[in-house]
Amino acid sequence: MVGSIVFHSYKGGTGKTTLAVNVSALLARAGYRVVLLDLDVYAPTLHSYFGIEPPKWINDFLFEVAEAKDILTDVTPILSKSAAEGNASHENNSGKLFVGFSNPSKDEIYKLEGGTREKVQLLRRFISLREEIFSAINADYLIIDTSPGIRYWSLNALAVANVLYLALKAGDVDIAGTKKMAADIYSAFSKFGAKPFLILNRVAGYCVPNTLLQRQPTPDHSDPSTSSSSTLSLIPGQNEMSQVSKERSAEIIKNIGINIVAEMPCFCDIMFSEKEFLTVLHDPDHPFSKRIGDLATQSQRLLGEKSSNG
Amino acid sequence: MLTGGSREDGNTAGGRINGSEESFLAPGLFLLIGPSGAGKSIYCRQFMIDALLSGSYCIFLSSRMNDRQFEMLFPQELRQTLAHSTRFINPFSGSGIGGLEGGDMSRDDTRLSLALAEIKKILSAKRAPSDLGGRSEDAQISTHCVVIDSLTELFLMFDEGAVLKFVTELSLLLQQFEVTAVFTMIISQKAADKPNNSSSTFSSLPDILASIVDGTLEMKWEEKTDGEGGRNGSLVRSIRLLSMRGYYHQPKWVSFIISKSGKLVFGNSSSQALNCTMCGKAIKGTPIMDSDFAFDSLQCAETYKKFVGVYGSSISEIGGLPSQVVNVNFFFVDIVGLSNPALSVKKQIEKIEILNRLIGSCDAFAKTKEKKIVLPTGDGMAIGFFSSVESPLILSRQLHSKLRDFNRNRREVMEQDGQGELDSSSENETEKLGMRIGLGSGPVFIVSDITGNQNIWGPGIILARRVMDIGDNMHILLSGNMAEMLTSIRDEYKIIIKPIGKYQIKHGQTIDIYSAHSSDFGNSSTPVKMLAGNVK
Repeated sequence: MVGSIVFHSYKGGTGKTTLAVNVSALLARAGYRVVLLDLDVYAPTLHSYFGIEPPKWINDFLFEVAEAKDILTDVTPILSKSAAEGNASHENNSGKLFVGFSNPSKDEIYKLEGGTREKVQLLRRFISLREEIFSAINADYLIIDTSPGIRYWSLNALAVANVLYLALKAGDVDIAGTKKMAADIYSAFSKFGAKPFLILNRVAGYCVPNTLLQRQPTPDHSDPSTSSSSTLSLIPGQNEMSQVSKERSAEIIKNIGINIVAEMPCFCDIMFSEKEFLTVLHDPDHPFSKRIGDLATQSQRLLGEKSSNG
Repeated sequence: MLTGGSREDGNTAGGRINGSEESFLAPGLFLLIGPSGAGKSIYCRQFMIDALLSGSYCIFLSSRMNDRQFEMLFPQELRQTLAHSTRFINPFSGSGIGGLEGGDMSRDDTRLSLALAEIKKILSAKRAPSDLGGRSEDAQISTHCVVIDSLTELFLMFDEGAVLKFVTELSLLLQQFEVTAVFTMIISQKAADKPNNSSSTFSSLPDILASIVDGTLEMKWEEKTDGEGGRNGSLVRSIRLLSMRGYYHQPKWVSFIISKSGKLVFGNSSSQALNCTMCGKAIKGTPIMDSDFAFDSLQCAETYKKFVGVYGSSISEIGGLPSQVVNVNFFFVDIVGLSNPALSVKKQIEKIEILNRLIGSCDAFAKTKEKKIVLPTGDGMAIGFFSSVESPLILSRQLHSKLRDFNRNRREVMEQDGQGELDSSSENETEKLGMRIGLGSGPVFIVSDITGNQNIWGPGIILARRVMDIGDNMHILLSGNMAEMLTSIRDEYKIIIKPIGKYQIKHGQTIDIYSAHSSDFGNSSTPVKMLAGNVK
């Protein structure tokens, strides 16, 4: 079973990119061929996340100056390096993660907002990209990070996906906007087979402060003061306080009309770190990583179980 | 060419389509449907040429063409034979129909009845020349073909009920003869997608007509890709036998191209290039058909539906609609009372000529540099303005001014001639020129017809026609969307354009109707149809 997952939200700053990258990394480390696309075309970030300036961008494919294979960068070595630093142990080395980056150039972003006719041509090209990712690249999973809100390229990404993850914080404004978007947009997609779910992320009032976490040296390193040789995990006996009350969850589900697939606390060390980077690999015992692991497992289940041996 | 369309496997790839020189379609009546630009008219042309070359006699019926245009359909080498091997009939103009003097040509059903009688006369003469006094060479003709291109135009120019009656009676007539007949009809993708909700008159007609005919052929076109998912700007046209009465078959599309000489060239069906509507890839294996579009996977079909759900029908541009879809502002006019039994054909023609002259003298028509298209409808015309939403209204006001002058002058002339008050007798009433005008704005598809002329078709022109049909003499009625656009442009329009209510037109669709009038133009009274009912 192959399938695509899109991470979307009504507002910005809900953690879509962090969630998308870490889920992708876990799936790749589990032995799957994963393609991650940065379709946040209006404010691309994945190139800076990975520190990569690719020779070809998604934009080049859409404008027919590059092939699918040319715009995908194999970041598996980066995953391996991070996993090694985090002493991750559960991995299947046959997995791959390819990333398609969106060009942050102002002119390139403008070009994507062409006239109706051009947009339709670009859309068809985007559809063919999805097809090639599965047929030529042989991807098991396509993960798409999108722009927030109801925008042309966000909708296109949602339309090609099998599973829609709608990230939101639990604030009333976010919920109100998400509710409207669910009614206006998501219903059109779910009617034809897409599975929408909510991810409550950075839930206010459910923080996991740094004081609950401890840094431990990895077995191969003796200096716990540097992140490259140690991992963060919850101090034994501490409660991460990450459960949104059942009443609140039920209220959100009732309000928006979409079930919750994951609840992510606000982890202060990630929220206020200079840069989150592949936490699931670097800090596999971090409670965030555990939550992402659950989400990745849920994703596999939603798209259908698949052998991970190749 | 269709010539042979009914093979046992039900594939239109039969006969000439798959390259063989087999026989024509089996005798019967076939409805050929498809969007504008799919190649229906070209197909009919090829159908007739093939029939002529095999010795058949052809009857071609069109309400839009004239004799000269009909002749130009055929290659030079065939034109000399047309006189004794074809008959061109225009039920609207009366071309090719004998006995016009005895009939009331102002009535739709009369014109079509005369056309039907003419066809019957031709077929009877060809079958039994000795009985009916036909020429001896007619006896050698054993097969006939009848083409109506197109029913869409008939529905535009004649009353729907009259056309359906005509088609039904013609189908019964053709059963008595060894005839292969093809009737064409435009069916837009939009109408096909929403057969029960479309505002188009034609959304349900194909189903009605399909029950009359022996088989239904379907054509479509798609933009060609280069095999890598890219577009190369050319079109891939396809045809299939959609249904055939009396036996089971599996419809399959067969692609064809139209050569520079206007011939249909069918490729090998095994190598036909049908591309997925969604991703553009060449479809391998059996395409998944949905809403008249072909997809290479269920995923693409579902994605397409998602896009339609979010973006609406505009996403149809991906699929089968003609590439040029534009919004056009329509002026639709017809002459009131042209079907008055007291009016002679000569008088009818005179009135049509006067209307043409009056419109031609209006600056809004004659001097505008705006791109426009004129579609004669027999008792009036539709004029589409491609830029200004004001142009139809300006033309209406100018035309009313010209019309009042004309009627006043005519009254004065008649009074001087001692013929009395113009409006004092029914005889004089026929001298007055009355008209009703409908204005509407909406999308239409630009297509090239068989003669290479630009033509248009779509919801915009249909809406204007519907609006006009509601009015009485001197009404200038507007659709709701056009009225709203105009009143938002100039304050003076808010004074002269007034809402008069909602009106239920065909298929349960309700439209807002506005009336433009002042002391100088228009008619301030409520249309009789709105007084009589159908008002929501």
